[in-house]
Amino acid sequence: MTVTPEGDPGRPRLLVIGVGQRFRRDDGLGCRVAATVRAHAAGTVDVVSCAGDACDLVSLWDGRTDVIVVDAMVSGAAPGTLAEFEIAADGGGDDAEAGGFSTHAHGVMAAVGLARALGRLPARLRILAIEAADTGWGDGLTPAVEAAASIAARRILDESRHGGGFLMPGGPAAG
Amino acid sequence: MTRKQIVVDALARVEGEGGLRIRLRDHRPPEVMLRIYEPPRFFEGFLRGRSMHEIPDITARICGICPIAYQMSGASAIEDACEVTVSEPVRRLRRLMYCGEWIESHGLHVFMLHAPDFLGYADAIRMAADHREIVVDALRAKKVGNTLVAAIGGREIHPVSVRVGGFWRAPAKAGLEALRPELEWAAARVRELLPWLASLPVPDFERDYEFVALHHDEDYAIERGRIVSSRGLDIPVRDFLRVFSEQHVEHSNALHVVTAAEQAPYHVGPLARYNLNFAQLPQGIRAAAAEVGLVPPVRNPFRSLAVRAVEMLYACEEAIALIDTYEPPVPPCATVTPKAGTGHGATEAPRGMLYHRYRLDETGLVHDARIIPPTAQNLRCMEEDLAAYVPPRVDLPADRLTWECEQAVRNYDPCISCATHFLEVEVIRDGDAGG
Repeated sequence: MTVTPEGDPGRPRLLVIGVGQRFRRDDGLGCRVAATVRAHAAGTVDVVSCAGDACDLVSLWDGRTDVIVVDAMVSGAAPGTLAEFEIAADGGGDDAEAGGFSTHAHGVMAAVGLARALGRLPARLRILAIEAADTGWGDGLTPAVEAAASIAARRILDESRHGGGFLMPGGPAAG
Repeated sequence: MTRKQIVVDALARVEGEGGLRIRLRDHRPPEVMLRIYEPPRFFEGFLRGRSMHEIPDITARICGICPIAYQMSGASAIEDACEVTVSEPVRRLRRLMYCGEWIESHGLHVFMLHAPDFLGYADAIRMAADHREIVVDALRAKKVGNTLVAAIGGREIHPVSVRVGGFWRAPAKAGLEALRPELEWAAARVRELLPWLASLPVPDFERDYEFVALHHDEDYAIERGRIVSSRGLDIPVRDFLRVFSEQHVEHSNALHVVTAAEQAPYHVGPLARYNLNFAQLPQGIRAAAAEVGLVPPVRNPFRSLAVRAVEMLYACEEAIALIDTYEPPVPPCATVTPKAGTGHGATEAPRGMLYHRYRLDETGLVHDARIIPPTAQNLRCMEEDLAAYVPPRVDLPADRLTWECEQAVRNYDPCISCATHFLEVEVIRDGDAGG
């Protein structure tokens, strides 16, 4: 999963990391968004999927300057709600309290905490989260999440072509 | 009157979900329960009726840390049933791939999961703030293992190249040779860190374990060998279930494995391998280990941290040697014709010996499967370690005692997900909790 930065000299090449397990229904949304971006922007955006192992995430984004991590969230919001979090290099709390570091009970935030402690956060790291409805056994996304995953992929593709931000903060996804 | 209970609801820095409860009362032996509440996963059940050729891919899914162990033990068992012996180049490529898993798994456990215990940090994130260089290098070393597995298996987690009889595709030599510089770096860095790891303070605690591991005269056993023990056992893999038996205990969804004759615990994993197979390590590694005081038999389970590092060093050097002599096996796979019968396979997962047994019909369908992971074999040892460890330390502050109990469990790098196929810790002092 080594990703070599390249691209326009004036603009850092975007890396999109889809996190999840596609056999746990909506938990696979990160992989779905990654696959869609890869299909439409191969050669201009680097795209990888991973299970969310903190060590792997830190290795994947090491040396990169512009990274979007796409993952499922369970916050109690309406299924399909999109949320974007910009990760600050200096943090704002106790990273370890975001889940600590284990191998099963970890999350993306453990990777963020580890990378911050190591001084290895990308200059710009955004987490694009979509509220999941069903993370039970099985393949395929629920309808609201399917729609939100399409919107998220389109916004990432738009940004990769035109620059700028890609997401309105909070609220159910709107086309 | 001493009435204490140690309770940890969810053990941290282990693979999977489980808890620990220790109850101490006057004049009674300590009650130790490693509560494995992760749900059973029923792999052995749903393997029935599947083709023998599906075994490597299905059983790999039991674990994201040691999928290759499952693939190798599974494939070996099927090959045993079908009376097939793989070619020497295939066996060596399997061993090379297995080295990648040892590097990856040991690197994760030694530096990211277990070292924080010895240094007084709650986890690797907090440790990273003070030991940045070591954590950065640990991530790099772990990645070396990942990359090696991916180069052979197509991807680092649940690789896809392994099949019964060998590989779907053998990698080109140039692709493996490209990994040599990073393997050399990892070997040198682990060798450099070994004195530091071996100097980390460990409790004064030893037990007279029966160590059990695979043994092969020609090399440090990983993917082949007979089952031997520190008390004279020496049997072929096919006799595993004659000598060892599984027990169900009420507090655990993982079975406990004990010796069939005495119903006694035994110890598998790095300490067992190291003590039983020290002579098979290269002289340079034996010397490096001896220099830091790791002279077998090592019976202090807390020294498993340093022994794992020795094995990590070995895996790096062994991988380099295997790459240097590598020629892609042609063909990459032996022809395996289904045969009615029963096959047995055992290999050394990073945590210890992993045994598989399958009964096949003449078309190669699986009629019965038994999978006995290393953590299930070590559970009784973990409980007995704690039963011996806690009473002399019962006056320690509760948080300190709980910390040390968790550390004692992590000596085994338990994979609860494999064993149920585990860890929260509870030290309950009856006076505090009314228990």
